[in-house]
Amino acid sequence: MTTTMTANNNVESFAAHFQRLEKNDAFARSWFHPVRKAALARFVESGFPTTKDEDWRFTNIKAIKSVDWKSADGVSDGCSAKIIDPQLLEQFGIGTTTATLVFVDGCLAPALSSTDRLPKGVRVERLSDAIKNENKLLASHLGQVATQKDNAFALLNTALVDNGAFIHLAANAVAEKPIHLVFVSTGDQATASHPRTMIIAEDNSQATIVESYIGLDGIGLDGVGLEPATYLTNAVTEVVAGAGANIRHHKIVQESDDAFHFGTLGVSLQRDSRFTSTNICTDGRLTRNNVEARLLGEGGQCTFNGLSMLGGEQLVDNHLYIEHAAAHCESWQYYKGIYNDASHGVFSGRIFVRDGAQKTDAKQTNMTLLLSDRAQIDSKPQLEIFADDVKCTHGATIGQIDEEAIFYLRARGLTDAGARSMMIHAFASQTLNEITVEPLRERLEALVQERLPKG
Amino acid sequence: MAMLEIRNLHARVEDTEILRGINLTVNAGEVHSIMGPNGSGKSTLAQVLAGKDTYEVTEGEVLYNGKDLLDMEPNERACEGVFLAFQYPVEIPGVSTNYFLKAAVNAKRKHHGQEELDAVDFLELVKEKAALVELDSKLLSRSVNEGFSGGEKKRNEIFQMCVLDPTLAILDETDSGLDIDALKTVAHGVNCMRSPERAMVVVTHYQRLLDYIVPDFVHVLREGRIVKSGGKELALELEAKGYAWVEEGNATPVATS
Ligand SMILES: Nc1ncnc2c1ncn2[C@@H]1O[C@H](COP(=O)(O)OP(=O)(O)OP(=O)(O)O)[C@@H](O)[C@H]1O
Ligand SMILES: [Mg+2]
Repeated sequence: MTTTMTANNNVESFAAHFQRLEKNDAFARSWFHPVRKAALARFVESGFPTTKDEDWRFTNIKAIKSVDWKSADGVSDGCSAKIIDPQLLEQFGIGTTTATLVFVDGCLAPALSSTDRLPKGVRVERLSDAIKNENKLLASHLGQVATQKDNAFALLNTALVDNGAFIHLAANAVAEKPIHLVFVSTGDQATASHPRTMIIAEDNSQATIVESYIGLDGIGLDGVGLEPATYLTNAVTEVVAGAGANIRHHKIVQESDDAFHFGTLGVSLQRDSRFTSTNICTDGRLTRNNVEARLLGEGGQCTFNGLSMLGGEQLVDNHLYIEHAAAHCESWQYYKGIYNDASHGVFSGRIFVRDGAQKTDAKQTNMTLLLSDRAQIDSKPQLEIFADDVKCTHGATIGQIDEEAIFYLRARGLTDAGARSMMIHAFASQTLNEITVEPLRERLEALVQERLPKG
Repeated sequence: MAMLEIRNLHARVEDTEILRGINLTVNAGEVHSIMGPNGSGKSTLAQVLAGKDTYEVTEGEVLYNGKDLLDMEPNERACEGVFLAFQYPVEIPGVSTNYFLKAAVNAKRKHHGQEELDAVDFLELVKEKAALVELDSKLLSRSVNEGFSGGEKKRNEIFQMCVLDPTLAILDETDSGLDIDALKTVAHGVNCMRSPERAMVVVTHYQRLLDYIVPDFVHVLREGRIVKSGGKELALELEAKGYAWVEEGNATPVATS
């Protein structure tokens, strides 16, 4: 066997898994099967990206190519979720929700989930059920939002989607309390899961939706953490925001120290709609957050906040593409990173303003705090503007903690660690305050506090 | 025992010697003024006393209430009652004055085995002291010094001094950049702090501050040494004759009381 074969093997093993699934009648006869099949063909053709691809220049995913991933078994109806202690849920900051869906290693855990408090016009169900029931609305949007070409991971997700949620907000429907989707990995070795979430928010609807991706190592009960596990989460979330819809979205990535997380968030915004997303990444060996948002109607507004706080040899790559296709829209990207040890951050934000998207107001900021000499950030803004009456700004700051400020605080009586903690916390808290789900914000606040210098 | 006893203090940055044998004794209840041309080492002296590690002390010693000051961490010095009002107050993004000052007050209280101040008592203290130096209390909930005017920064320093209630206050050019009204207010804040238990070292370029904060002693610093010391008249003399006067051979190294 040649070495090239080895590199391809794992693409082929995903394909082989697909062929095994096809043997199941329900899978092969589903309306969704041709969509899966087409996506798989494109995935097999392109393979996984390499650092030669401009979009992956700073993020080497070689490590995932050599693993023979076992597929999570979320597709089959019969899958039953591993039992986890419901008390663990409290640690995910769920609080009171409109609906909660908890998936454990790809399987819905009914005992931990609840969808019985849904207000009128709000529907939350397992994606596989919505696919099985041939939901027309779902069929017309699934795969139509996250459409960026050559997104190998999104293609693989479409081919192998195994779990996730379908959220539908009818026109004018309001979910007062958040809808929380929790994807827990308990640490089954070398499992690959492909969760998918489709959110359709019709005109003037409102909701707050939380996606938490959590590895159980380090947060076991009684402080007894499990060993870090190698697993792969390949998630895609698509959001359709109808005219005047207002969606808040929080994504928490707190995967195992040895886990890989690839996530794509696709958003399309119609006239006067708003989408505000806050992405907090605190753990995971390698995390890639793709965002692609398209402002398709006048008056649309989207905000993407991010806070990454990493250490060890962890890497996070935040990769955003914001397209202004209509006039009078606003988009903001505020990404902050705090990198300790030999961790590595990548930020790439592309703003694309189409011809005719006049009066666009697009802003991008990437601020980085490097807490160690070995920590690293690669920050790459890109503006492509084809309209003449627009306001686009971008800025990046990279720095260590200001030692003059530390001395100032110490000269007032704070210890060195106290002064450092205060400054790091201040840097993080602006983004944490964007989390509107209080128990979640408190949990993340505590997580950040825990990582601040002590003494 | 003197409160502060500086003996033959030498300090350098890399290969440059900045302080070249400073001797100064400050007793409780006294106000000393240090004057001197630009670059003579005034701020360096102030920062060395506060514990800035950019400066390496190569010789000499500093006793504070009989203890080795140079052996203490900057925060220990602060908790023991040393306060430095910075010539160039630092901006701290995202941290409000109220927030860090509460931590500072409580660090000091903890150091002295006292209970922490609760939010209500702290706010009361802050309100009183802000009024004393006419500092707009809205500024206190904004990021420290960020977007503050020069005058606001200096008022903020004096305000912090009043809240922290130090034993030894070192004011580094607190008057620079202040108009006459602001100067009077700041001086009022400082004068309220004068007491037999407290000492102050006031670094300034200009005699005008000393019209409002009348010193007991004036020292002239030149090239890292105190070249002349005297009473408050010395400031007036300097004002009239300029620093060139001390450079023309009138310099007499002095060891004060
Ligand atoms: N961190 C530093 N690195 C290099 N040189 C320094 C440093 N700090 C001070 N110096 C030098 O030491 C000398 C004394 O500086 P210092 O700030 O103490 O003077 P000063 O008397 O306070 O002056 P001013 O009246 O302008 O405030 C100057 O020549 C200055 O350039
Ligand atoms: Mg100075």
